[in-house]
This record gives sequence, C-alpha cells and structure tokens, in this order.
Amino acid sequence: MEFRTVAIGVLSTAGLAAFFYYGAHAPQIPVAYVPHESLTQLPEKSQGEISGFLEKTFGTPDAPRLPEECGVEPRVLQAGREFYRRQCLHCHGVTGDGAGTTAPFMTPPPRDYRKGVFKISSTMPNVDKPSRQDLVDTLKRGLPGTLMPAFSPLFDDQTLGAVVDYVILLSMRGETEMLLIQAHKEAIDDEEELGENLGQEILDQVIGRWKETEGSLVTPSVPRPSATEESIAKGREIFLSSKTNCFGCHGMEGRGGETGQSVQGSEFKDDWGNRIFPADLTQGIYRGGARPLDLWRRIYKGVKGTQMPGFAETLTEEEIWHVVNFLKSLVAEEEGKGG
Amino acid sequence: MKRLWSLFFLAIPVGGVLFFVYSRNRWWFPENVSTFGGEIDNLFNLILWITGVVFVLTELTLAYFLFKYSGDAGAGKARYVHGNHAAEMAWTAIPCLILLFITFSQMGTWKKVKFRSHFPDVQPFAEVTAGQFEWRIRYAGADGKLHTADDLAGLNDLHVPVNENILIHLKSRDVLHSFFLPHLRLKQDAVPGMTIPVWFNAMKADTYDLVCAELCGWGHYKMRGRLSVHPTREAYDAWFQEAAAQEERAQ
Repeated sequence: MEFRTVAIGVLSTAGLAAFFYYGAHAPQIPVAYVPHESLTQLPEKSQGEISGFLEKTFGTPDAPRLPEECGVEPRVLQAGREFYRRQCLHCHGVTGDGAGTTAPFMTPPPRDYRKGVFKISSTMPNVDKPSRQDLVDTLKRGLPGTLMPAFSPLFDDQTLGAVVDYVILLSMRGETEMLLIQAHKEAIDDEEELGENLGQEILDQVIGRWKETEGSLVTPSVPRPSATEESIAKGREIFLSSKTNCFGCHGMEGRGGETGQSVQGSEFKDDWGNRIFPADLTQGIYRGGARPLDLWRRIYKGVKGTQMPGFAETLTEEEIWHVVNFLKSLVAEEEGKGG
Repeated sequence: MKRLWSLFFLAIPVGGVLFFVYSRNRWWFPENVSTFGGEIDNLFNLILWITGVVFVLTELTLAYFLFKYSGDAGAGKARYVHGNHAAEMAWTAIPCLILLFITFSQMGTWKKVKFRSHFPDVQPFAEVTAGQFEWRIRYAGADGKLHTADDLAGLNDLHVPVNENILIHLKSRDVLHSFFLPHLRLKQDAVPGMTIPVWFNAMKADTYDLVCAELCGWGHYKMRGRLSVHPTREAYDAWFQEAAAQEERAQ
C-alpha cells in the first residue's frame, strides 16, 4: 500500500517533468513547400525536374533563398520567413497558396500568391507587379472589408519589408512552378523536346517582371482640385457617362453589389475564381487605402485580376480627381444620414 | 504513514503564499497611469487579502484535520456530527457579510468608472472599432463630433493627450472583443451592434499596451495595439495635424 502511494507520486512527478521538458524542447515539425496540384499530372521525370529546379533556386521553407540578381540577403529572407510563420502562415499557407489551416473559414479567401497577380498596386499601368512598397503598405494598412488585418504601427517598415521579400519569393516560386508545368505540358502534347535552359529562361522572365516595378510609381502630376460642388458635379457626370460606364457595375447610386445593370445576371469572378461584387462606394471602406491619392491610383490603375479596369487611357488626370471628389462626397452624404 | 498526506495538502497553502511573495516583485501589475487606477488596485488588493486569508486558513484547517484524523495508530478518532445549527448560521452569515462589504466598498469606484451618468462631461474623443484582428480608430477631430468631415482615421495606435478626460465610443464589427489598457486599469468588452462608451485619463506620457482581452478567434494573439499618450495638448495637436495632412495626401 505504501509502496503504491510512493510509486504514484514519483511517477506522476516524473511524468509532469517530462511533459514540460518536451514542451520546451519539442523537435520542430519539418515543413516543406507543397507542389502545385497540377504537377502530379505530369510524368515523374518532369515532376522531378521541376521540383529540383525550384528547390535549387528558392531553397526550402527552413532555408529560403532568392537568385542573386534579386539582391535579397538570406538573412532577410530568414527574418521574413520567421514573421510569416508566426503571423501569415495559418491563412496563406506554407507555400503561399492561400491554403492555410484557417483559410476554409474565410470570405473572401486568403490570397494565393502563386499566380503572381496582386490586386492593389500603384506601379505604372504597363507594369504587371506591385512595387515592394505597395505590398508593405498593404501589410501596414490591412485590407479593410476582408480578414487581412493591419500590422501598423507595431511593426516597422524594415520588419514588414523582410516579410514582403519572403512573400515575393513565394510568389516567384509559385509563378515559376506554374509556367514550368505549363511548358512541360505543352511540350508533351506537341511531342517536342524541352529547351535545356527552360527553367532559367522562365525564371528570368518572372524576375524581370518584378524588376520592372523598381522606380515605377503612378503619381498624379496635377494637384487635387478642391472638392467644390462644381468638381463633385463633374465627377458625377463622369461616373454616369457611357465613356467610363462606372455606373454599369457600381450602380446609379454607387452602391455596388448587384445594383449595377452589367452585374445583374452575370457572375463576376476574379482570376482565382472567387465570386466578387463591385464595391459599395458609399461605405468609405476601400481595400487599397482611403486617401484621395489611393483612390486616384485605384481609378488610374484599376484592380488587377478583377473586372475593374484602369482609366489611365480614358480619363485625364484632372477628370480622375473630380471622380475622387465625387466618391468622397458619396461617403459624406451617407454618413450625414446617420449611418 | 497516512499522516504524510497532510503534508501534501499543506504544500498547497505554503506553496501558494511563497509563489505570491515571489511573483509580487516580478510579475505584478504594470505601472498605474490612470486617475482611477489607484482605486481599482486597492479593490483588487482588498479582495486578494480577503480571499487569500480565507484560503490559507481553510487549507491549514484541512491539513490539520488530515493529520489529526489520519487513521494511523495513535491518531484521534473522527466522529459523525448531524449538523450544528450555530456553526451553519455562522458560515452562512459571515461570507454574506463579507460579500456585502465588498459590494458596498466597490460601488463608488464602479460608479465613477462605468456609470454613464457619472462620466466626465466631455465630447467623445474617438470611436474605436474592434474587428478580427485589429483596432480601427476614428478621431472626432476639432469639432468634437464623430462622423463629420474632419474625422481622422487611425489604426491600432490610439493617440491621446496627457491629463485629459478621454471618452471613447467602443464598437465591434464582428465578434466579442475586449478593449484592455492594462496601465490604465481599464477593460471593457466590445459587443457587435452596441456602442459602449468608456473613459480614462492618463497621467503620464508614454506608450502603453492596448490588447484584446477576449478570445476573439484564431488570430486573437495578433490583436495588439498601442496607446500613445502625448506629453502636452500641443504635441497631440501637432501629431493630429500631421496625420490629417497624410490622410488628405493628394500627391
């Protein structure tokens, strides 16, 4: 009887100690990038080639790297990866495919970076990618109206910059992978030989698109006219004109959703296949920032991967400012109603 | 040998008190910078002392009885008691009096901190909307009115001047959150569909934690913010002008 008492005491104490020791020294669960779902449709030889090239170029989640011409030190990527693991991974996934464990609960779903398409950007219209600063700004501001939270101001630009570098790595890796899969598929279908330097060529192409963003920034060259009744009226006229057809999607009252004529009966989807709706412009909730400058850029550049076009060609810079003033007045009007 | 069990139970009050003494100088409250924070701390301490003393006495009694009536040879023999009217009256009445004492001693503070009728007579300073997993702030601006043209939007960082009564309208856009300023001794749930006013007055300029104190979802840990207390009204106004200029930035 006494032996049993002592034995229970000793064993439970030892168990508890082991539990805490394990908790503090548990081995890290190994993580690996997940191959694209369409990769498995290729013959094994192609699969091996693609995976091998990606790992050689971009490393692994625990040892990420970028080609030298990108000019990002592994130390920075390591720091970005650490932050990503803590704050981003549970939605955006290890691979940046938007398939994290919490992703299924979310509308809209978290971004899959692998397409290499980013909705919010302020680079020139002929530039495909967002600038590094665009992505930093998105992290700082969050995306109002979605579940992407804001990380300002507790994390500084340097920390967030490292995260952006890591996100760009994931995006480059994903885009390179998809283009490689496509090229392999086409070669197999056409019974052609693949070029020896195929991987490098595609990689250069992807890196080139990101390089284009350097120093590319859309900025209005005319100042914003003050939001007089006249300016607002001009903006309204442009909004309701057939030239822009803003009202076709956003509706006559700018309420978005399904109020626009063009939206009714047609299901708008973005490049990821998610059902989307034109923004309700009376709410003052803007994914890409609420400053007049942000609105100006959104109209000028449009929203990538969606039906929202840019109006760089259609409107003059000043006309865009009138529309901005009109949009701001819609929000003020709505708030005046006590909403 | 069964007497050893009483030592096991004795370890709980002894360990508890030792842990309290150890942590008191290490992991205790952050500095209080709130005008009403002292009263909140006093109430906390009062309740801690009452429950602490009762806890220790109860545990010591338990250990004593376990020792005395352990069943070992030579120990005393327990006997059955079919109730004791006087004892029952005592153990009902005494806790009742203690609870009444606590009730009445906290009423003044509660009234001051939480009763809208006793709030300082000031316009709302800002509206704080909690959401998964961020704090969105809307400053009322110079006119002291929310939802007007001179409002300023902020994120995760609540700026206030020192030594002023600050009235915040607290909202939630999705689920329950809790607006917690540990240095200001202020905690209030944010409830979807409700606007809940809270107030505080910070006595010292610095930056302090603003955290969500209600498990609000998978990203609850992300929901950290900051309270920035400016050393003067002028410093706050200067910050406001600068932020407003940024917000209106057109080029």
